[in-house]
Amino acid sequence: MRLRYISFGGLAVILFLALLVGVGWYRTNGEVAVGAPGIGGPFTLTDGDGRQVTDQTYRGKWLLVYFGYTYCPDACPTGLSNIAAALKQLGPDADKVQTLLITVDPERDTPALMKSYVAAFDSRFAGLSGTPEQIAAVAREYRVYYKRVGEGEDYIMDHSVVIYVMDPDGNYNTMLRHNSAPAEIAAALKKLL
Amino acid sequence: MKRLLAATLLILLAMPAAAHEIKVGDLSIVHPWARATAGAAKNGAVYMRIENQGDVDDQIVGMATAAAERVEMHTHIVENGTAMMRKVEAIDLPAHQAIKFKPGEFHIMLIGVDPPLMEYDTFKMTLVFAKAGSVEIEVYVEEAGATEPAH
Repeated sequence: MRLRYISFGGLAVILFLALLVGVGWYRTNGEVAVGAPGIGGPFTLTDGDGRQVTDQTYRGKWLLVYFGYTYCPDACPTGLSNIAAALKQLGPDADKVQTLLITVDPERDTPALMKSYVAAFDSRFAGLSGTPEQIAAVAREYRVYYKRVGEGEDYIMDHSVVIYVMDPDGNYNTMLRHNSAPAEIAAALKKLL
Repeated sequence: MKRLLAATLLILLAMPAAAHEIKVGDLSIVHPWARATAGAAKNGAVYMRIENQGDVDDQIVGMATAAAERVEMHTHIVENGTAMMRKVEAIDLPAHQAIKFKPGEFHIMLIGVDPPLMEYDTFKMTLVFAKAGSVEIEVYVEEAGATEPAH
């Protein structure tokens, strides 16, 4: 009888410890996930000319992967402007870099709209759209959050504004912020190119 | 003293370059600018600095322009790497402080820009303040990829 109590107690302790370890593992994992390998992966999207592209399309180039939408008046133009200014500072080395703007608003952002939008910032930028499912998949790969806010035609999108730097083999290297100064972005890229 | 004089002189000399400034009461609206419309996009944002040089707090409570179907004031919050743009009805302009409308912070959103804004264009906008009244300003259009006003 007593033994049973002890084993119940023991079981409780073991369960409690397991819970602690579990929570610890979860928390560490959650923290490590930001900035850890495992960001990025295969995707299939549509470029500005309506052609199907995949992650393989851009192998051999450093990628700057940024998510946004053309309805966005401030955050997206700010990120793209900072990248464009940074690439100007890099000079010819900038040709080793491919910037991808992936829409989080596939309902409104057609390939043609994406093309004209990104070209206003830098002719080398590519604007990618896709089906809602394709966008959801690539956002998941990049751990990007987006959410529609508001009703009717004039809704806006909350969305992650991280700029991911992927190496020429498609592996995650580092991340930048959309409001990083152009000089800061240029310095980070210069180290890599 | 000599250095102070030189500094004052420099500031005075530099002043004509900072001519794009509109005053209404104790408020100065400095360098209102917008980015050129990016391709076929329909929306834009206006940025400026508003200095309240007076002793009384004021508020910006409204704006109007013929350059877009609608205008709204927005704040821009970034939390855990996620940008959230939210409409605000008024922005405080505390006495002796400057409020910056700048990329990644407060902005005036232009919804349904028509015709598209082109670099070197200007357009008129009326700003309404709770105490200082209203004033018409001229907004300068910079290139689409501008990170700050060039003029």
